Amino acid sequence: MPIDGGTVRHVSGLARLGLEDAEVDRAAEQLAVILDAVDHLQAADIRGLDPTLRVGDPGTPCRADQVEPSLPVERALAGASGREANLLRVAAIQ
Amino acid sequence: MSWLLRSLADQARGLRRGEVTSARLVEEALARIAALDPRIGAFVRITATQARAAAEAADRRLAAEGDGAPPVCGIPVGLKDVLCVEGVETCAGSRILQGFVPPYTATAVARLTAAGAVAVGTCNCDEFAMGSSTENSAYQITRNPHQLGRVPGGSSGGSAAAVAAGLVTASLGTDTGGSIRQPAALCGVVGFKPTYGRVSRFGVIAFASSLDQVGPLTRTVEDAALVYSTIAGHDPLDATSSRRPVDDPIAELALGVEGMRLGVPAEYVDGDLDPGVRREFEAACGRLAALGARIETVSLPSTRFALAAYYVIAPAEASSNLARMDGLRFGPGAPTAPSLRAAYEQARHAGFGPEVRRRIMLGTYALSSGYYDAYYRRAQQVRTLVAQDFGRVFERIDAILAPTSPTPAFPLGSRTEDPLAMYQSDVLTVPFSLAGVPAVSLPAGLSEGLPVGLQIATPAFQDARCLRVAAAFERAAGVAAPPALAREPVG
Repeated sequence: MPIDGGTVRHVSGLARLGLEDAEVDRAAEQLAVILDAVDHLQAADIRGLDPTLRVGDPGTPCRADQVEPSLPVERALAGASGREANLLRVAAIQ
Repeated sequence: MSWLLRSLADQARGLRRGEVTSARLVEEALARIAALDPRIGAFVRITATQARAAAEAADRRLAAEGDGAPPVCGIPVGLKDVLCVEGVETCAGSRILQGFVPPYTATAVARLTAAGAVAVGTCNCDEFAMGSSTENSAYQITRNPHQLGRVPGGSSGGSAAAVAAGLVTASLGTDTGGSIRQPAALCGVVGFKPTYGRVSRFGVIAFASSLDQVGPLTRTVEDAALVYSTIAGHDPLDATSSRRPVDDPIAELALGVEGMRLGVPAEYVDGDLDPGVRREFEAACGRLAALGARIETVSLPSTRFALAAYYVIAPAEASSNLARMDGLRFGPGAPTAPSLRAAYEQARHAGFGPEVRRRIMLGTYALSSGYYDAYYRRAQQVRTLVAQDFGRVFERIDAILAPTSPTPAFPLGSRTEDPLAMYQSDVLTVPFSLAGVPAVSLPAGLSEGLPVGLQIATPAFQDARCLRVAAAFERAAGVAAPPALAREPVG
Protein backbone atom coordinates (compact mmCIF):
# COMPACT_ATOMS: atom_id res chain seq x y z
CA MET A 1 0.00 0.00 0.00
CA PRO A 2 1.61 3.29 -1.02
CA ILE A 3 2.06 5.84 1.74
CA ASP A 4 3.26 9.33 0.91
CA GLY A 5 5.54 11.74 2.69
CA GLY A 6 2.61 13.92 3.72
CA THR A 7 0.99 11.04 5.57
CA VAL A 8 4.27 10.19 7.28
CA ARG A 9 4.67 13.82 8.39
CA HIS A 10 1.08 13.86 9.66
CA VAL A 11 1.51 10.64 11.67
CA SER A 12 4.91 11.76 12.96
CA GLY A 13 3.27 15.00 14.10
CA LEU A 14 0.42 13.19 15.84
CA ALA A 15 2.96 11.03 17.67
CA ARG A 16 5.31 13.97 18.40
CA LEU A 17 8.21 12.09 16.87
CA GLY A 18 9.82 15.04 15.09
CA LEU A 19 11.02 13.07 12.07
CA GLU A 20 13.54 15.04 10.05
CA ASP A 21 12.99 15.62 6.34
CA ALA A 22 15.79 13.21 5.45
CA GLU A 23 14.02 10.45 7.39
CA VAL A 24 10.57 10.84 5.86
CA ASP A 25 11.15 9.00 2.57
CA ARG A 26 12.79 6.02 4.28
CA ALA A 27 9.96 5.87 6.83
CA ALA A 28 7.38 6.00 4.03
CA GLU A 29 9.08 3.09 2.26
CA GLN A 30 9.27 0.95 5.37
CA LEU A 31 5.72 1.68 6.51
CA ALA A 32 4.42 0.86 3.03
CA VAL A 33 6.15 -2.54 3.12
CA ILE A 34 4.75 -3.31 6.58
CA LEU A 35 1.25 -2.12 5.69
CA ASP A 36 1.37 -4.27 2.56
CA ALA A 37 2.22 -7.26 4.73
CA VAL A 38 -0.61 -6.65 7.20
CA ASP A 39 -3.09 -5.82 4.46
CA HIS A 40 -4.12 -9.44 4.01
CA LEU A 41 -6.14 -8.94 7.22
CA GLN A 42 -8.71 -7.65 4.76
CA ALA A 43 -9.14 -11.24 3.51
CA ALA A 44 -10.22 -12.57 6.90
CA ASP A 45 -13.92 -13.34 7.26
CA ILE A 46 -14.79 -11.36 10.37
CA ARG A 47 -18.51 -10.97 9.73
CA GLY A 48 -20.45 -10.87 12.98
CA LEU A 49 -17.35 -11.10 15.16
CA ASP A 50 -16.78 -8.82 18.11
CA PRO A 51 -13.29 -7.45 18.59
CA THR A 52 -11.21 -9.09 21.34
CA LEU A 53 -9.98 -6.19 23.38
CA ARG A 54 -8.56 -8.34 26.14
CA VAL A 55 -8.10 -11.96 27.08
CA GLY A 56 -8.10 -13.68 30.46
CA ASP A 57 -10.74 -13.17 33.11
CA PRO A 58 -13.61 -10.93 32.02
CA GLY A 59 -14.47 -7.66 33.69
CA THR A 60 -12.44 -5.14 35.58
CA PRO A 61 -12.44 -5.85 39.30
CA CYS A 62 -12.77 -2.79 41.49
CA ARG A 63 -11.44 -2.49 44.99
CA ALA A 64 -13.46 -0.87 47.76
CA ASP A 65 -13.74 2.90 47.29
CA GLN A 66 -11.66 3.74 50.32
CA VAL A 67 -8.65 5.99 50.70
CA GLU A 68 -5.47 3.97 51.19
CA PRO A 69 -1.87 5.05 51.65
CA SER A 70 -0.19 5.78 48.34
CA LEU A 71 3.34 6.55 47.22
CA PRO A 72 4.77 9.17 49.59
CA VAL A 73 5.97 12.42 47.98
CA GLU A 74 9.54 11.91 49.13
CA ARG A 75 9.77 8.50 47.45
CA ALA A 76 7.99 9.70 44.33
CA LEU A 77 10.49 12.53 43.94
CA ALA A 78 13.56 10.59 45.06
CA GLY A 79 14.69 10.07 41.47
CA ALA A 80 14.06 13.62 40.29
CA SER A 81 17.07 15.39 38.85
CA GLY A 82 15.63 18.72 39.98
CA ARG A 83 12.98 19.65 42.50
CA GLU A 84 11.05 22.69 43.63
CA ALA A 85 8.72 22.15 46.60
CA ASN A 86 6.74 19.03 45.68
CA LEU A 87 7.27 19.44 41.94
CA LEU A 88 9.79 18.07 39.45
CA ARG A 89 11.98 20.84 38.08
CA VAL A 90 13.07 20.52 34.45
CA ALA A 91 14.97 22.82 32.14
CA ALA A 92 12.85 25.73 30.94
CA ILE A 93 11.49 25.67 27.41
CA GLN A 94 13.13 28.56 25.54
CA MET B 1 31.40 -27.82 37.59
CA SER B 2 30.37 -24.33 38.59
CA TRP B 3 27.39 -24.20 40.91
CA LEU B 4 25.88 -21.68 38.47
CA LEU B 5 25.64 -24.38 35.81
CA ARG B 6 23.53 -26.59 38.05
CA SER B 7 19.77 -26.28 38.22
CA LEU B 8 18.00 -23.98 40.67
CA ALA B 9 16.59 -27.07 42.38
CA ASP B 10 20.12 -28.49 42.83
CA GLN B 11 21.38 -25.20 44.22
CA ALA B 12 18.42 -25.05 46.60
CA ARG B 13 19.29 -28.52 47.89
CA GLY B 14 22.95 -27.53 48.24
CA LEU B 15 21.99 -24.45 50.22
CA ARG B 16 19.91 -26.50 52.64
CA ARG B 17 22.58 -29.19 53.08
CA GLY B 18 25.22 -26.58 53.82
CA GLU B 19 27.23 -27.50 50.69
CA VAL B 20 27.12 -23.93 49.47
CA THR B 21 25.96 -20.53 50.67
CA SER B 22 24.04 -17.81 48.91
CA ALA B 23 27.06 -15.55 49.43
CA ARG B 24 29.20 -18.02 47.48
CA LEU B 25 26.61 -18.39 44.70
CA VAL B 26 26.43 -14.63 44.32
CA GLU B 27 30.23 -14.23 44.31
CA GLU B 28 30.40 -16.94 41.68
CA ALA B 29 27.75 -15.16 39.61
CA LEU B 30 29.61 -11.85 39.87
CA ALA B 31 32.92 -13.50 38.95
CA ARG B 32 31.37 -15.25 35.94
CA ILE B 33 29.75 -11.99 34.80
CA ALA B 34 33.10 -10.19 35.10
CA ALA B 35 34.89 -12.93 33.15
CA LEU B 36 32.35 -13.88 30.48
CA ASP B 37 29.87 -11.04 30.02
CA PRO B 38 32.23 -8.65 28.23
CA ARG B 39 31.93 -11.11 25.30
CA ILE B 40 28.14 -11.62 25.64
CA GLY B 41 26.64 -8.33 26.81
CA ALA B 42 23.78 -9.90 28.76
CA PHE B 43 23.87 -7.35 31.59
CA VAL B 44 23.48 -3.59 31.39
CA ARG B 45 23.77 -3.00 35.12
CA ILE B 46 25.24 -4.95 38.04
CA THR B 47 23.94 -4.34 41.56
CA ALA B 48 26.78 -6.04 43.44
CA THR B 49 26.46 -4.18 46.74
CA GLN B 50 22.73 -4.85 47.06
CA ALA B 51 23.25 -8.45 45.91
CA ARG B 52 25.89 -9.17 48.55
CA ALA B 53 23.66 -7.74 51.28
CA ALA B 54 20.68 -9.75 50.02
CA ALA B 55 22.80 -12.92 49.91
CA GLU B 56 23.83 -12.48 53.54
CA ALA B 57 20.17 -12.02 54.49
CA ALA B 58 19.24 -15.14 52.50
CA ASP B 59 21.92 -17.16 54.30
CA ARG B 60 20.56 -16.02 57.67
CA ARG B 61 17.05 -16.98 56.56
CA LEU B 62 18.17 -20.38 55.32
CA ALA B 63 19.90 -21.00 58.64
CA ALA B 64 16.77 -20.03 60.54
CA GLU B 65 14.11 -21.65 58.34
CA GLY B 66 15.93 -24.57 56.72
CA ASP B 67 13.56 -26.57 54.52
CA GLY B 68 10.82 -24.05 55.30
CA ALA B 69 12.61 -21.32 53.33
CA PRO B 70 11.17 -20.68 49.85
CA PRO B 71 12.87 -22.70 47.08
CA VAL B 72 14.30 -19.58 45.41
CA CYS B 73 15.87 -18.30 48.64
CA GLY B 74 19.53 -17.42 48.09
CA ILE B 75 19.42 -18.01 44.31
CA PRO B 76 21.11 -15.41 42.04
CA VAL B 77 18.75 -14.04 39.39
CA GLY B 78 18.75 -11.45 36.60
CA LEU B 79 15.92 -9.04 35.79
CA LYS B 80 14.95 -7.73 32.37
CA ASP B 81 15.42 -3.99 32.01
CA VAL B 82 11.65 -3.37 31.77
CA LEU B 83 10.97 -4.52 35.35
CA CYS B 84 11.01 -1.59 37.77
CA VAL B 85 13.18 -1.99 40.86
CA GLU B 86 12.98 0.72 43.49
CA GLY B 87 16.23 2.63 43.64
CA VAL B 88 17.80 0.91 40.60
CA GLU B 89 17.92 2.73 37.26
CA THR B 90 15.49 1.02 34.86
CA CYS B 91 15.58 2.12 31.21
CA ALA B 92 13.72 -0.49 29.08
CA GLY B 93 16.76 -0.45 26.83
CA SER B 94 15.86 3.11 25.84
CA ARG B 95 17.70 6.39 25.90
CA ILE B 96 14.43 8.17 26.70
CA LEU B 97 14.39 6.57 30.17
CA GLN B 98 18.09 7.10 30.89
CA GLY B 99 18.32 8.24 34.49
CA PHE B 100 14.88 6.93 35.49
CA VAL B 101 15.10 5.46 38.98
CA PRO B 102 11.72 3.92 39.85
CA PRO B 103 10.22 4.74 43.24
CA TYR B 104 8.54 1.30 43.40
CA THR B 105 9.26 -2.30 42.50
CA ALA B 106 7.38 -4.51 40.02
CA THR B 107 5.22 -7.05 41.85
CA ALA B 108 6.87 -10.03 40.11
CA VAL B 109 10.29 -8.81 41.28
CA ALA B 110 9.00 -7.98 44.76
CA ARG B 111 7.61 -11.51 45.14
CA LEU B 112 10.83 -13.08 43.94
CA THR B 113 13.05 -11.05 46.25
CA ALA B 114 10.63 -11.39 49.18
CA ALA B 115 11.12 -15.14 48.77
CA GLY B 116 14.87 -14.58 49.14
CA ALA B 117 16.04 -14.63 45.51
CA VAL B 118 19.05 -12.34 45.00
CA ALA B 119 18.95 -9.93 42.04
CA VAL B 120 22.50 -9.41 40.78
CA GLY B 121 21.69 -7.08 37.93
CA THR B 122 19.62 -5.87 35.01
CA CYS B 123 19.52 -7.81 31.75
CA ASN B 124 19.71 -6.14 28.35
CA CYS B 125 16.67 -6.17 26.06
CA ASP B 126 15.35 -4.65 22.88
CA GLU B 127 14.14 -1.10 23.45
CA PHE B 128 10.72 -1.22 25.15
CA ALA B 129 10.78 -4.98 24.43
CA MET B 130 10.30 -4.35 20.70
CA GLY B 131 12.45 -6.77 18.79
CA SER B 132 13.46 -10.36 18.24
CA SER B 133 17.25 -10.10 18.41
CA THR B 134 18.26 -7.76 21.29
CA GLU B 135 19.98 -5.58 18.73
CA ASN B 136 17.54 -2.70 19.35
CA SER B 137 18.81 -1.76 22.83
CA ALA B 138 20.15 1.78 23.00
CA TYR B 139 22.99 0.55 25.22
CA GLN B 140 24.54 -2.56 23.67
CA ILE B 141 23.83 -5.66 21.67
CA THR B 142 23.71 -9.06 23.33
CA ARG B 143 25.40 -12.08 21.72
CA ASN B 144 24.32 -15.70 21.73
CA PRO B 145 26.58 -17.70 24.11
CA HIS B 146 26.42 -20.69 21.73
CA GLN B 147 27.91 -18.70 18.84
CA LEU B 148 28.97 -15.14 19.54
CA GLY B 149 28.31 -14.04 15.97
CA ARG B 150 24.63 -14.90 16.34
CA VAL B 151 21.73 -13.13 18.04
CA PRO B 152 20.32 -14.44 21.33
CA GLY B 153 16.77 -13.73 20.17
CA GLY B 154 14.62 -11.09 21.79
CA SER B 155 13.39 -9.12 23.27
CA SER B 156 14.46 -10.85 26.53
CA GLY B 157 17.81 -11.75 24.94
CA GLY B 158 19.89 -10.63 27.90
CA SER B 159 17.77 -12.70 30.30
CA ALA B 160 18.12 -15.80 28.08
CA ALA B 161 21.86 -15.38 27.40
CA ALA B 162 22.56 -14.81 31.11
CA VAL B 163 20.98 -18.17 32.03
CA ALA B 164 22.51 -20.01 29.06
CA ALA B 165 26.02 -18.83 30.01
CA GLY B 166 25.49 -19.63 33.70
CA LEU B 167 25.87 -16.00 34.76
CA VAL B 168 22.74 -16.39 36.89
CA THR B 169 20.58 -19.37 37.77
CA ALA B 170 17.30 -17.88 36.59
CA SER B 171 15.99 -14.66 35.17
CA LEU B 172 12.75 -12.85 34.58
CA GLY B 173 11.69 -11.74 31.13
CA THR B 174 8.53 -10.42 29.55
CA ASP B 175 6.69 -11.89 26.59
CA THR B 176 4.39 -9.83 24.36
CA GLY B 177 4.57 -11.81 21.10
CA GLY B 178 7.26 -14.35 21.96
CA SER B 179 9.88 -12.33 23.83
CA ILE B 180 10.51 -15.02 26.45
CA ARG B 181 10.01 -18.14 24.31
CA GLN B 182 11.98 -17.16 21.19
CA PRO B 183 15.19 -16.11 23.02
CA ALA B 184 14.86 -19.19 25.25
CA ALA B 185 14.74 -21.33 22.10
CA LEU B 186 17.69 -19.57 20.46
CA CYS B 187 19.83 -19.76 23.62
CA GLY B 188 18.94 -23.34 24.58
CA VAL B 189 17.13 -22.64 27.87
CA VAL B 190 13.58 -22.96 29.19
CA GLY B 191 11.30 -19.93 28.83
CA PHE B 192 7.73 -19.86 30.11
CA LYS B 193 5.01 -17.35 29.23
CA PRO B 194 2.20 -17.88 31.73
CA THR B 195 -1.49 -17.31 30.98
CA TYR B 196 -2.26 -13.61 30.47
CA GLY B 197 -3.35 -12.28 33.88
CA ARG B 198 -1.57 -14.99 35.87
CA VAL B 199 1.44 -12.80 36.80
CA SER B 200 1.02 -9.16 37.74
CA ARG B 201 2.10 -6.52 35.24
CA PHE B 202 2.42 -3.87 37.97
CA GLY B 203 5.79 -2.19 37.61
CA VAL B 204 6.42 -3.57 34.12
CA ILE B 205 7.22 -0.78 31.67
CA ALA B 206 4.40 -1.44 29.22
CA PHE B 207 4.79 -2.33 25.56
CA ALA B 208 1.32 -3.72 24.63
CA SER B 209 -0.83 -4.01 27.73
CA SER B 210 -3.30 -6.62 26.43
CA LEU B 211 -0.41 -8.97 25.59
CA ASP B 212 2.49 -8.32 28.01
CA GLN B 213 3.19 -11.08 30.52
CA VAL B 214 6.10 -11.70 32.92
CA GLY B 215 7.71 -15.14 33.12
CA PRO B 216 10.85 -17.09 34.01
CA LEU B 217 13.86 -18.21 31.98
CA THR B 218 15.72 -21.10 33.55
CA ARG B 219 17.91 -24.11 32.84
CA THR B 220 15.20 -26.73 33.59
CA VAL B 221 11.42 -27.03 33.52
CA GLU B 222 11.30 -27.68 37.26
CA ASP B 223 13.21 -24.43 37.82
CA ALA B 224 10.70 -22.56 35.65
CA ALA B 225 7.89 -24.04 37.74
CA LEU B 226 9.62 -22.96 40.97
CA VAL B 227 10.04 -19.37 39.78
CA TYR B 228 6.54 -19.27 38.26
CA SER B 229 5.00 -20.47 41.53
CA THR B 230 6.82 -17.68 43.35
CA ILE B 231 5.65 -14.82 41.13
CA ALA B 232 2.12 -15.94 40.07
CA GLY B 233 -1.12 -14.90 41.71
CA HIS B 234 -3.59 -12.08 42.09
CA ASP B 235 -2.28 -8.57 42.61
CA PRO B 236 -4.69 -5.76 43.49
CA LEU B 237 -2.28 -3.34 41.80
CA ASP B 238 -3.00 -4.86 38.35
CA ALA B 239 -6.65 -4.73 37.24
CA THR B 240 -6.04 -7.48 34.67
CA SER B 241 -4.55 -9.82 37.26
CA SER B 242 -6.70 -12.94 37.68
CA ARG B 243 -8.30 -13.80 41.02
CA ARG B 244 -8.38 -17.52 40.25
CA PRO B 245 -6.28 -19.66 42.59
CA VAL B 246 -2.87 -20.54 41.17
CA ASP B 247 -2.49 -24.18 40.17
CA ASP B 248 0.47 -26.07 41.63
CA PRO B 249 2.85 -26.96 38.80
CA ILE B 250 5.35 -28.73 41.07
CA ALA B 251 2.76 -31.32 42.09
CA GLU B 252 2.00 -32.12 38.44
CA LEU B 253 5.53 -32.16 37.02
CA ALA B 254 6.01 -35.91 37.48
CA LEU B 255 2.63 -37.01 36.13
CA GLY B 256 3.81 -37.65 32.58
CA VAL B 257 1.92 -37.57 29.28
CA GLU B 258 0.59 -41.11 28.94
CA GLY B 259 -2.88 -40.98 27.39
CA MET B 260 -2.66 -37.26 26.65
CA ARG B 261 -3.77 -35.97 23.24
CA LEU B 262 -1.18 -33.59 21.82
CA GLY B 263 -1.99 -31.59 18.69
CA VAL B 264 0.42 -30.47 15.99
CA PRO B 265 -1.12 -27.62 13.95
CA ALA B 266 -0.67 -28.38 10.25
CA GLU B 267 -0.25 -24.67 9.51
CA TYR B 268 2.79 -24.45 11.82
CA VAL B 269 4.77 -27.18 10.12
CA ASP B 270 3.60 -26.68 6.53
CA GLY B 271 5.43 -23.36 6.22
CA ASP B 272 9.10 -22.57 5.81
CA LEU B 273 11.02 -24.26 8.59
CA ASP B 274 14.76 -24.65 8.83
CA PRO B 275 15.48 -28.34 8.05
CA GLY B 276 17.21 -28.82 11.39
CA VAL B 277 14.28 -27.28 13.24
CA ARG B 278 11.87 -29.57 11.38
CA ARG B 279 14.02 -32.64 12.10
CA GLU B 280 14.31 -31.89 15.84
CA PHE B 281 10.61 -31.01 16.14
CA GLU B 282 9.58 -34.28 14.49
CA ALA B 283 11.97 -36.16 16.77
CA ALA B 284 10.44 -34.40 19.79
CA CYS B 285 6.94 -35.46 18.70
CA GLY B 286 8.22 -39.01 18.33
CA ARG B 287 9.71 -38.93 21.82
CA LEU B 288 6.40 -37.75 23.34
CA ALA B 289 4.57 -40.47 21.41
CA ALA B 290 6.98 -43.02 22.85
CA LEU B 291 6.00 -41.76 26.31
CA GLY B 292 2.40 -42.72 25.61
CA ALA B 293 0.94 -39.47 24.24
CA ARG B 294 -1.28 -39.51 21.15
CA ILE B 295 0.06 -37.08 18.57
CA GLU B 296 -2.63 -35.74 16.23
CA THR B 297 -2.63 -33.22 13.44
CA VAL B 298 -4.95 -30.28 14.14
CA SER B 299 -5.84 -27.13 12.23
CA LEU B 300 -5.59 -23.51 13.35
CA PRO B 301 -6.61 -21.88 10.06
CA SER B 302 -6.61 -18.29 11.31
CA THR B 303 -2.94 -18.60 12.13
CA ARG B 304 -2.18 -17.14 8.71
CA PHE B 305 -3.64 -13.83 9.90
CA ALA B 306 -2.09 -13.86 13.38
CA LEU B 307 1.21 -12.13 12.64
CA ALA B 308 -0.54 -9.35 10.70
CA ALA B 309 -3.07 -8.84 13.52
CA TYR B 310 -0.26 -8.76 16.08
CA TYR B 311 1.70 -6.16 14.11
CA VAL B 312 -1.33 -3.88 14.15
CA ILE B 313 -2.51 -4.46 17.73
CA ALA B 314 0.87 -4.36 19.49
CA PRO B 315 2.12 -1.16 17.78
CA ALA B 316 -1.29 0.48 18.36
CA GLU B 317 -1.08 -0.24 22.08
CA ALA B 318 2.58 0.79 22.11
CA SER B 319 1.86 4.13 20.46
CA SER B 320 -0.63 4.82 23.23
CA ASN B 321 1.54 3.51 26.09
CA LEU B 322 4.61 5.39 24.92
CA ALA B 323 2.75 8.69 24.51
CA ARG B 324 3.63 9.41 28.14
CA MET B 325 7.38 9.37 27.43
CA ASP B 326 8.24 13.06 27.10
CA GLY B 327 11.99 12.67 27.59
CA LEU B 328 12.09 15.82 29.70
CA ARG B 329 12.19 14.69 33.34
CA PHE B 330 14.82 12.09 32.48
CA GLY B 331 16.24 11.05 29.17
CA PRO B 332 17.73 13.36 26.56
CA GLY B 333 15.77 16.56 27.32
CA ALA B 334 15.27 19.31 24.75
CA PRO B 335 17.72 22.08 25.57
CA THR B 336 17.13 24.15 22.42
CA ALA B 337 13.41 23.66 21.82
CA PRO B 338 11.52 26.90 21.08
CA SER B 339 8.11 25.58 22.20
CA LEU B 340 6.57 22.83 24.29
CA ARG B 341 5.55 20.90 21.18
CA ALA B 342 9.05 21.21 19.79
CA ALA B 343 10.44 20.07 23.14
CA TYR B 344 8.40 16.87 22.97
CA GLU B 345 9.39 16.27 19.37
CA GLN B 346 13.07 16.95 20.01
CA ALA B 347 13.25 14.76 23.12
CA ARG B 348 11.20 11.90 21.64
CA HIS B 349 13.18 11.93 18.40
CA ALA B 350 16.46 11.78 20.30
CA GLY B 351 15.13 9.35 22.92
CA PHE B 352 13.53 6.62 20.80
CA GLY B 353 15.49 4.32 18.51
CA PRO B 354 14.49 3.56 14.90
CA GLU B 355 12.43 0.42 15.61
CA VAL B 356 10.42 2.06 18.39
CA ARG B 357 9.79 5.11 16.20
CA ARG B 358 8.67 2.78 13.40
CA ARG B 359 6.21 0.95 15.63
CA ILE B 360 4.84 4.17 17.14
CA MET B 361 4.25 5.46 13.59
CA LEU B 362 2.57 2.20 12.56
CA GLY B 363 0.36 2.19 15.66
CA THR B 364 -0.55 5.85 15.35
CA TYR B 365 -1.46 5.28 11.71
CA ALA B 366 -3.61 2.23 12.55
CA LEU B 367 -5.48 4.21 15.22
CA SER B 368 -5.86 7.41 13.23
CA SER B 369 -9.08 8.70 11.75
CA GLY B 370 -9.99 6.91 8.53
CA TYR B 371 -7.82 3.85 9.19
CA TYR B 372 -9.07 2.66 12.59
CA ASP B 373 -11.78 0.32 11.26
CA ALA B 374 -9.64 -1.07 8.44
CA TYR B 375 -6.68 -1.86 10.67
CA TYR B 376 -7.12 -1.72 14.43
CA ARG B 377 -10.75 -2.85 14.74
CA ARG B 378 -10.29 -5.51 12.07
CA ALA B 379 -7.12 -6.80 13.76
CA GLN B 380 -9.03 -7.12 17.04
CA GLN B 381 -11.76 -9.06 15.23
CA VAL B 382 -9.12 -11.33 13.72
CA ARG B 383 -7.82 -11.81 17.27
CA THR B 384 -11.27 -13.22 18.07
CA LEU B 385 -10.90 -15.62 15.13
CA VAL B 386 -7.51 -16.76 16.39
CA ALA B 387 -8.86 -17.29 19.92
CA GLN B 388 -11.83 -19.24 18.53
CA ASP B 389 -9.43 -21.54 16.66
CA PHE B 390 -7.65 -22.35 19.90
CA GLY B 391 -10.95 -22.84 21.73
CA ARG B 392 -12.09 -25.40 19.15
CA VAL B 393 -8.83 -27.34 19.22
CA PHE B 394 -8.61 -27.37 23.01
CA GLU B 395 -12.05 -28.98 23.23
CA ARG B 396 -10.44 -32.28 22.26
CA ILE B 397 -6.67 -31.75 22.61
CA ASP B 398 -4.75 -31.46 25.90
CA ALA B 399 -1.81 -29.45 24.56
CA ILE B 400 -0.45 -28.05 21.30
CA LEU B 401 3.09 -28.75 20.08
CA ALA B 402 4.99 -26.48 17.68
CA PRO B 403 8.51 -25.35 16.97
CA THR B 404 9.23 -22.12 18.86
CA SER B 405 11.07 -20.39 16.04
CA PRO B 406 11.21 -21.24 12.32
CA THR B 407 15.01 -20.92 12.40
CA PRO B 408 17.81 -21.24 14.93
CA ALA B 409 19.76 -18.12 15.96
CA PHE B 410 20.53 -15.97 12.94
CA PRO B 411 23.71 -13.93 12.37
CA LEU B 412 23.99 -10.54 14.06
CA GLY B 413 22.93 -7.74 11.73
CA SER B 414 21.31 -10.04 9.19
CA ARG B 415 17.75 -8.79 9.74
CA THR B 416 18.21 -5.30 11.15
CA GLU B 417 17.59 -3.59 7.81
CA ASP B 418 14.56 -5.73 6.99
CA PRO B 419 11.79 -5.25 9.58
CA LEU B 420 9.52 -7.82 7.95
CA ALA B 421 12.19 -10.53 8.09
CA MET B 422 12.68 -9.70 11.78
CA TYR B 423 8.92 -9.82 12.44
CA GLN B 424 8.79 -13.30 10.85
CA SER B 425 10.89 -14.53 13.79
CA ASP B 426 7.70 -14.33 15.88
CA VAL B 427 5.40 -16.15 13.48
CA LEU B 428 5.14 -19.30 15.63
CA THR B 429 4.86 -17.57 19.01
CA VAL B 430 2.46 -14.70 18.28
CA PRO B 431 -0.76 -16.76 17.91
CA PHE B 432 -0.50 -18.05 21.49
CA SER B 433 0.04 -14.48 22.70
CA LEU B 434 -3.07 -13.24 20.91
CA ALA B 435 -5.09 -16.04 22.52
CA GLY B 436 -3.58 -15.33 25.96
CA VAL B 437 -2.79 -18.99 26.61
CA PRO B 438 0.29 -20.30 28.46
CA ALA B 439 3.20 -21.52 26.36
CA VAL B 440 6.66 -22.79 27.20
CA SER B 441 9.76 -23.26 25.05
CA LEU B 442 12.36 -25.84 26.03
CA PRO B 443 15.47 -27.19 24.33
CA ALA B 444 14.77 -29.95 21.81
CA GLY B 445 18.13 -30.55 20.16
CA LEU B 446 20.55 -28.74 17.88
CA SER B 447 20.56 -27.61 14.26
CA GLU B 448 24.15 -27.25 13.06
CA GLY B 449 25.28 -26.65 16.63
CA LEU B 450 22.56 -24.14 17.44
CA PRO B 451 19.70 -24.79 19.90
CA VAL B 452 16.19 -25.60 18.67
CA GLY B 453 13.14 -24.96 20.84
CA LEU B 454 10.03 -27.07 21.31
CA GLN B 455 6.94 -25.00 22.14
CA ILE B 456 4.08 -26.44 24.19
CA ALA B 457 0.81 -24.57 24.80
CA THR B 458 -2.30 -25.40 26.83
CA PRO B 459 -5.66 -23.72 27.48
CA ALA B 460 -5.74 -20.54 29.56
CA PHE B 461 -5.04 -21.16 33.26
CA GLN B 462 -3.73 -24.67 32.54
CA ASP B 463 -0.20 -23.48 33.23
CA ALA B 464 0.59 -26.53 35.34
CA ARG B 465 -0.38 -28.88 32.49
CA CYS B 466 1.87 -26.92 30.12
CA LEU B 467 4.86 -27.43 32.42
CA ARG B 468 3.88 -31.07 33.02
CA VAL B 469 4.15 -31.89 29.31
CA ALA B 470 7.45 -30.00 29.13
CA ALA B 471 8.83 -31.86 32.15
CA ALA B 472 7.91 -35.22 30.62
CA PHE B 473 9.79 -34.33 27.44
CA GLU B 474 12.79 -33.03 29.40
CA ARG B 475 13.02 -36.23 31.47
CA ALA B 476 13.15 -38.25 28.27
CA ALA B 477 15.45 -35.94 26.28
CA GLY B 478 17.71 -34.80 29.12
CA VAL B 479 18.57 -31.25 30.16
CA ALA B 480 20.42 -29.37 27.41
CA ALA B 481 24.16 -29.01 27.87
CA PRO B 482 25.41 -25.45 28.44
CA PRO B 483 27.45 -23.85 25.63
CA ALA B 484 31.23 -24.32 25.53
CA LEU B 485 31.76 -20.72 26.60
CA ALA B 486 29.88 -21.39 29.86
CA ARG B 487 32.20 -24.29 30.67
CA GLU B 488 35.38 -22.20 30.43
CA PRO B 489 37.22 -21.99 33.77
CA VAL B 490 36.59 -18.69 35.53
CA GLY B 491 38.93 -17.02 38.00
